[in-house]
Amino acid sequence: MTATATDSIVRAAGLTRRFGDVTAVDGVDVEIRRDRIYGLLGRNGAGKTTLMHLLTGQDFPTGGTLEVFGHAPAENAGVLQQLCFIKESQRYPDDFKVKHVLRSAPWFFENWDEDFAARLVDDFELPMNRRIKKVSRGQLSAVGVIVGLASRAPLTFFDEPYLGLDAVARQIFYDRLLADYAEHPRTVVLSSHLIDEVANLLEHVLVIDRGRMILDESADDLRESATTLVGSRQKVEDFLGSREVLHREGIGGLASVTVAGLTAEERQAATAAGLELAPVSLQQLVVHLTRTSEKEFA
Amino acid sequence: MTAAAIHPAAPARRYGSSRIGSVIRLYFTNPMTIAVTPFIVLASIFVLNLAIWVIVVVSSPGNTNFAEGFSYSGASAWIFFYMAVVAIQAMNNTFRLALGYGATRRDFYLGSALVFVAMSVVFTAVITILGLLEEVTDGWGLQGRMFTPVYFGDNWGVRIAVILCLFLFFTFTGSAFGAVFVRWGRNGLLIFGGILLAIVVAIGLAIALLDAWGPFGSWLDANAPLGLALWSLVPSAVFGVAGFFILRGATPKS
Amino acid sequence: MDEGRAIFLQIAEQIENDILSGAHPEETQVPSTNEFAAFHRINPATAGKGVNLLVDRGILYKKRGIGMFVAEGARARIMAARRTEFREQFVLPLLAEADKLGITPGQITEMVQQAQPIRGDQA
Repeated sequence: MTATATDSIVRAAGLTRRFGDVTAVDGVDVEIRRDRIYGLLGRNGAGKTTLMHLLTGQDFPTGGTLEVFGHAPAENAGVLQQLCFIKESQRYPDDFKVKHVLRSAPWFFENWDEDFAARLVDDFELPMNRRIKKVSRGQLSAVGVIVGLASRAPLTFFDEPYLGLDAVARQIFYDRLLADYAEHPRTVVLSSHLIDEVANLLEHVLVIDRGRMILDESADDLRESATTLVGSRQKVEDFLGSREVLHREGIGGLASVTVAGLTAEERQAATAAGLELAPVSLQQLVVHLTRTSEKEFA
Repeated sequence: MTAAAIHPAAPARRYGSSRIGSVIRLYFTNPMTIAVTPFIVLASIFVLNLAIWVIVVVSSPGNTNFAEGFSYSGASAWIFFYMAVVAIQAMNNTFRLALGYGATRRDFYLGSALVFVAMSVVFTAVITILGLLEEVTDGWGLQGRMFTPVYFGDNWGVRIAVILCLFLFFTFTGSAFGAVFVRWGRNGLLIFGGILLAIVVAIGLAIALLDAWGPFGSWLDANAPLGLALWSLVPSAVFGVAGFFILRGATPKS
Repeated sequence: MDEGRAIFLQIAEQIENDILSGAHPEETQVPSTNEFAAFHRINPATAGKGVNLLVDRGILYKKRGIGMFVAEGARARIMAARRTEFREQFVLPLLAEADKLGITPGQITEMVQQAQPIRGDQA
C-alpha cells in the first residue's frame, strides 16, 4: 500500500508537552494516514491521553510541530470540526440528562447520523431521561461511544472509551465500530490498555511509553515480527546465538525465549533443531517492548 | 457497493463556519437552569416576601405607611447572584463540553457572552414589568416593594439602566471568575480574588489618605444609583475582555 | 484467529480451504470483504488484504458492481501451491517430531501404509 502525499492527515514532529518537571509527551514523531483504524497503546500514564489532547487542539504543545489536516489544530475551527474526541473524563453541565447530550451533539458534527444514534441507544439500553450525574460508569461510557460513532467525524479519537462497560457492551462497541467503519471509512484512533481485545480491529499500532513513541508499525507486520522459541535450554541458547532477545522465561530445563524477526529459513532451521515455535500475541509483544524500554530508560 | 466516503470531494462549505450559534443552542439544550429555575426561585422569594409583608402589616396595627420601610428591600438581589453563578458554571462545565464537541474557545466565549447579554436583557425586562405591576397595585396591595426598591432609582429610565447594568456586572464578573478557575484552578481563583480585594482596599486607603471620604460620600450621593450603575459598565467590560483572553489559554483537562 | 500470524494470511488461507473443500465452487461468488471482516471481527482493511492476496494469486477476481468470484482453475492452482508447501508444512515437522521420539523414517513409512486403508482412498 503506497502512501500518497494526501494520505497523511496528522503529522507531528518532536511534539512535546511538559507540565512543570514532568514530560508527559516527549518528542513524539508520528504520522497518521487517513481511513485506517489505529491503536494507541501503552501503559497507564504513558502519555496516550495527553497526546490525544494535543492532537485535538484541546491542549497546547510546549514544543515541536503538529499539523492536523494541514494546520495546527488548536483554535482552528476548520480542523476541529472534522474531529471528534471521546474521552472518559468528559464533563457535562450539571443539569444535563442523557437525551440532552444526544440532542446537542448533532449541532457540532456535520455528518451526524440520527438513526444510527437511535439504534445505538437501543443497543446499549441507555436511559434517555436520566441525569448524567446519576448514570452508571458504563452508561456514561456508552454515551461517549454513541457520540463518537454517530458523529461519523473524518478523524475520531476514542480515549479508553470502554471504562465501566461490561464485556458484552464492549463487544457491541467493537462490532458497531467495525461495521460502521466498513460502511463509512474514516480514520479512527483508539487508545486502549486491553490490547488483546482490540488487536484484531487495528490496522496500525502506535505504542507510547513514558511519553515516547516506541513503536509505529502495521499490526500484521508486528504479528510476524516476533516468535517464541520453546525447547530445552541448551538447544534454545545454541539457536539464539547473538540474536536480539525480547523476553526470556523458563522453568526447569525448559526455556521459552521470544526473539525478533525470524525469516522463513530460520523458522525451518529452528523446527529442524527440535524447537517449538509459538506465536506472539500483540499484547505480549507490546508488554515485552515496554518492559525493554523501561530498562533502557531506567 | 462502494462505501459512502466521509471525506467530501470538495472542501465542505460548512467546515470552518463558526460554531457560535451551536454554542448558544448548547445553553438552551436544557432550558431549566437558564430559563425556568430563575423564575421559580423568583416566585418563591416573592411569596416569601408577601408573607413577610403580611406579617409586618398585621403585627403593627395603626400604622399605615410601610412603603418607605419596604422600599429598602434587597429581595431581588438574589437573582443577580444567581446569574453570576450561572456564568461561573458555564465557564466550567459548558466550556468543557463545547471544547469536547470541537468548538474553538473563541466561538465558545463569544457565544456565551451573547447568551449572558440576552439573559440580562430578558431578566431586566421581566423585573421591569413586575416593577410596573408593583407600582400599579401599590405594592401588591400591601405597599410591598420587591421589584422597585430604592436602590434601583426612582424613575423608569433609571431603573431599567440600573437593573441592566447590574445584570451585566454580575454575569461578566462571574464569567471572569469562572475563566480564572478553569485556567488556573482553585489557587488561581484565590489569587485573583486576593488581587481584586487588594485593589478595592487600595482605593479605600487612597480615599482615606486623601481625607476624601466626605467628597466621596457626596459624590456617591449625587451619582447613585444611575451613575454608579454606569460606572459599573467599566469593570464589566474589563472582566468581559479579560475573560476572553484568560479562556484562550485554558484547557479542559480536569 | 491465530495471534501470531498475519491475519490477512489466515483469511486468505481460510478462503482457499473453502475453495478446496468445494464450499465455494469456481465461478461462484464469495462473501464480501466487509462480510468477512464482520464475521471474524477483524479490521476490513485486513480482510481486504487477504482477499487482494488471492486476487494477485489468480484465485479470486472482481466483477465490478457485484463482488468477488472464484476464478476458473482456482482449485488446481491452490492444490499446486499447497503441494509445494506440503513438504515444509507437514513433512519436515513430521520428521523433526519423529526424530524427537526416536521413530525412524522406515517406521514412518510403515505407519503411513497402515493408515491408508483405514482412511480409504481419498484422492
